[in-house]
Amino acid sequence: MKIEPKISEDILLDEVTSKEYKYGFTTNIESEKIEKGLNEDVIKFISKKKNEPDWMLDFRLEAFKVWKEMEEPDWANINYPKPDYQDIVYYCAPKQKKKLNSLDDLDPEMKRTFDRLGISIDEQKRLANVAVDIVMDSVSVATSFKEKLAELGIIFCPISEAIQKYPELVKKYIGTVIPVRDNFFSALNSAVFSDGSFCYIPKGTECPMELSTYFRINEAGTGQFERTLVIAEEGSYVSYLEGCTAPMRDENQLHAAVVELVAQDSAEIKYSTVQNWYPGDKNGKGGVFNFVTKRGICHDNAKISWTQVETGSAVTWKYPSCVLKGKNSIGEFFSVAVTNNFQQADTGTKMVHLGENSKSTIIAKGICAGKSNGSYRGLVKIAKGAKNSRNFSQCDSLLMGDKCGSHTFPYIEVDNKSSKVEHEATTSKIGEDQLFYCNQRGIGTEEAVALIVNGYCKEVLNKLPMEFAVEAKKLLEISLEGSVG
Amino acid sequence: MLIEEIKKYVINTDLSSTQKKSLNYFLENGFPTTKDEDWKYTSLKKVLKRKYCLKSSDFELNDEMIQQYSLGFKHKLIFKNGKIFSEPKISGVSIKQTSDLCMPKNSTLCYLNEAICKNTYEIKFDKNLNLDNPIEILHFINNNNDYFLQLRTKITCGSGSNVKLVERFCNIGKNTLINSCMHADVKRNSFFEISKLQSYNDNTHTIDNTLIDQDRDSTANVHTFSFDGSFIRNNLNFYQNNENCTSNMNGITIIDKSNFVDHHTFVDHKFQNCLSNESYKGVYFDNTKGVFNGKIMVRPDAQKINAFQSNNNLLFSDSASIKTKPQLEIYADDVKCSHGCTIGQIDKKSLFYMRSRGFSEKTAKGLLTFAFLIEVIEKLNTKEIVDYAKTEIAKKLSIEKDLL
Amino acid sequence: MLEIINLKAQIEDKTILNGVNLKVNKGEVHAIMGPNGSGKSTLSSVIAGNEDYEVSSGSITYEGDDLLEMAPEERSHRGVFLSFQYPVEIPGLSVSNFIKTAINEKRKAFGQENISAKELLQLFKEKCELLNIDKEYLSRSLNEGFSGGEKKRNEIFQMAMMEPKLSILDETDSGLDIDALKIVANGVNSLKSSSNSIILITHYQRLLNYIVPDFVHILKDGKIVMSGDKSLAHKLEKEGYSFLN
Ligand SMILES: Nc1ncnc2c1ncn2[C@@H]1O[C@H](COP(=O)(O)OP(=O)(O)O)[C@@H](O)[C@H]1O
Ligand SMILES: [Mg+2]
Repeated sequence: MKIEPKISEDILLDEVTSKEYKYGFTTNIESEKIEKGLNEDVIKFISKKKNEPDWMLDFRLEAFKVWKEMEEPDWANINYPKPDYQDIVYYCAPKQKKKLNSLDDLDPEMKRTFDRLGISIDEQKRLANVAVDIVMDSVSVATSFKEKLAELGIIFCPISEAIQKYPELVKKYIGTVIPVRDNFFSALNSAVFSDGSFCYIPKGTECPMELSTYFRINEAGTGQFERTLVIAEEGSYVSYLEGCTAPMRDENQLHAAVVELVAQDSAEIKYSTVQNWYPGDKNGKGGVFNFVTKRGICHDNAKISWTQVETGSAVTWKYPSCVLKGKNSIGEFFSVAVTNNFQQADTGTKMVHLGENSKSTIIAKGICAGKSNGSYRGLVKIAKGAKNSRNFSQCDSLLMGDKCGSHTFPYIEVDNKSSKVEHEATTSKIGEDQLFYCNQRGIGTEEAVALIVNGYCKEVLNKLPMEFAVEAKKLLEISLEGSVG
Repeated sequence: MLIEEIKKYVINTDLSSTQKKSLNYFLENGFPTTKDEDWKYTSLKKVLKRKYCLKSSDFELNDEMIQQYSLGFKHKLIFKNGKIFSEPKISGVSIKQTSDLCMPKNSTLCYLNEAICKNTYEIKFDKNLNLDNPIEILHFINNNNDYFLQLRTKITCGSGSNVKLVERFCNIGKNTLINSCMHADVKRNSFFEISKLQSYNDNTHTIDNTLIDQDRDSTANVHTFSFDGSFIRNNLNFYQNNENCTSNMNGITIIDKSNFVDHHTFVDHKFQNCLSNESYKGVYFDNTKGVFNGKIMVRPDAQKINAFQSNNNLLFSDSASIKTKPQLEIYADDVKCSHGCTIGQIDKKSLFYMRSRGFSEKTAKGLLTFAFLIEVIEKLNTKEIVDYAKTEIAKKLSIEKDLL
Repeated sequence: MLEIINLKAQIEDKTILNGVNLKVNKGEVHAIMGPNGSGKSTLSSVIAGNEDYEVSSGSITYEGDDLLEMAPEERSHRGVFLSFQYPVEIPGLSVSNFIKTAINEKRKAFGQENISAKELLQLFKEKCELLNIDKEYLSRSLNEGFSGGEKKRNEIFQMAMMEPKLSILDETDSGLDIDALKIVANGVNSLKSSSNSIILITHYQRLLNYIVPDFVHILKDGKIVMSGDKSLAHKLEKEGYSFLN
């Protein structure tokens, strides 16, 4: 783990840190909270708090109207108590977690996980919300990155800031890839989103560094209804990292994020996610419900690739998708989804081919252990006009233990004859013979499982940026701890 | 509309209590719609729009017609508008009509069938009976009006028996919607095979429900050939109720015009050490539409299951479309399951290679398509059926049968 | 080094080893021959600690300790190496990564530091040369897509890397052509020393021309029915197993 942030920011950071100093790390946040429940007044309040322009408020109100008429989906292969949407607080000022005085106060289990992930002491402190002044260092480092990006005309800031500073850009693109009425959760998010990231890469620009929300200090507290918008103009390139390998404890039960990507002609966006929200305890109590809508649109010759490693959350419902609108556009999806104990995951992707010669690749690897259930649900749709399009999908499941379940639901729809679609899926288990072979070479069972799992996931892990990949591997090991033997 | 017709029809009929229950269930739930996950891609709307009557009218059936439609098997079981016309006399085989027969169901159509089917038959094969020749089941249909026909058959294969059936339809009348329910009870260590030869005419719409219960050490094979008929929906379910069962499904679909074929298969692996093998191949011309949904379920504790499924399709027209959903639901860990699915065209290089050797495009395409299907054909072990398949395939591909 | 006394083992109520006695001293090479299904692989599996087989009676002592008490990986750390008759494939896991992990696990067990990259590379180079192995193959997935011969050579390569005290080679020669056999035999011979021991399980006397055993045992129906020196192997080759009757 590198201590220095790859990219950080920003005005909010200054605000937060200076506030902290001012109030000596205790902020009275109660006054900033509103009553539970969702109605127009709440939405108006949120919008006002954020000092949003009228069009943004209208967007939210319209979304709310739509949402009220929608029903929460229940076709996914998951069971969970439906949240009571009137029992949620929809606005909280950037919330300060309880400060710890030192790492000794940290939950020992959490500390152990940090250590195993190889996270530096300083970074641990930051993640665990131990008061540190390393933040001050980040500011300076961040500033230099920020300057460099600014030189290139790249914008990377919280979406709330973008709404203020670049309203035309946000207005032009928000809700265009994922329409408000796309689904229940996207409508909800559109009505009440708290904050998120905005990223704009100008024409012909290759973003020189990986943009990462991980190192953004203002990440904490924006969680619940995050909204992300990435726009890559013609011929540009950006690699965007989202998430965190460290365990994220969060009181918010429900997460409903929306991520929209726009890849203009010949642009390329690489979007990598490591998701490790709190999965609940060994008995299935607690944990985050993660309902995310992610979609990107590819214009001519553009490419979007989604890479994800999902180990967290009690319930995950997530299908990063590509609309391959342009000629020769390319969509990719590489995923590892691990479920253990009582976790449930229903994930996959949708590749919608509209443009000629569009290509898509799907590699989905599911690993199920304990009493968990993992499902792959995917759609490959080749429209009539998408001549000579191609798709290759491979969905594999690895089962560990005899109480888990693995399911594959690939929907394939082809409407023209010049296209080619191939789909393969396998389900198998970690074999006793494989484990014994490793044991005989002196490799203990846990270690052997890790080796086999890493081998199984290699194709996906290789797609992650280097340092992310290393952490992701360790994360897999930790997630599967104690699931065999 | 059809629902009204059904209501009218039952007023004058005596229904048993189970039939009444089934009828109520059907009336409450109605015909499946595209909102049902299992009917997502298959709309009955158009099919149900016609004004069908439920009463059959009589017609003359003679030997000549039978000869014309038979594939020439020794044993023939002949139905006329769903009623037995003649039956083979084979020792160890009993065929009888019953009035009230409860069978497993997989959609509201089975409930409807249970409620209103007048001609329900039970066919029993004795223990250890080894049928020397397949029984050819021929259905002749002819009605003065558009007709909604119910067929209902229960087959019991006694333990250790070996039974092969071939089923074929001939509609010489008006528009007909067939709702057929067949339940096979395949007892211990027996072997059951049915070949469904679906060469209907354009006036025929079919919903075929075949449910197979298997006991220990049994094998059940179903071969489905879908060549003609404006609307075909096949629901094929296997329930493996004990250890060491084998279920094989093979399908060849070649359709043209605006025809529609939907194969929904389901294998329920409930016990250990079982096997299922599924291979469906489809070739789509013109404005056709194909649907394939293959579901494999492995229940908890059903260890050592091997389940293989493949669905391969060739699209020969830009107006043809295919929706496929191979589906695995697995709740046990010591299993080996795989499915593969492809949609594509004939390999251009092979086509060019053959043409440069002097083959006409039509012949080259035909042979390559046949090569694509051969894997399924090789699994057939009855000469007459291989012959039938080749004849129909040659017709569809407009090549000489001798080439195959 | 190794002493097996009256070992009986079974799988799912089927008795396979029916009272095996065997004593192997430091520096010795023992060959075990016997017809198919006589229990040779079972014996090697039991020594290595495969839990599929249940030891119903008897004992195995290794360097004075009860081997049956140890977990398979512990036996490995203590220097027991089994070259599998059917090596396992692990897709996606490279040969080099696998071996590195194996070496480091052993070091960890003895409280030693991980092997340095330099040392490891040096070792790879040396052993690759010894067994005539192209270095490129180190980055291939473990045994995946390997030919039979490659798999066996990979087993001996691992043996060379791990420097075991007791090596059991279960039909490592089967399916090898003569050139590959010579390479493997050379490898084994160069690893042989006065401080380690080898058990060769084989069907064919041919291997014994290259690796000369001190003792030859014949296993039949789960028992060692005859022991002798290398001439026994010749006799076997000539007359087949029938002379035992
Ligand atoms: N996993 C197993 N399950 C059941 N039987 C086994 C198993 N492994 C070995 N056997 C049986 O044990 C006997 C000895 O096998 P094995 O040790 O492989 O013999 P060899 O290596 O001498 O050819 C054979 O009869 C074989 O069928
Ligand atoms: Mg053996």
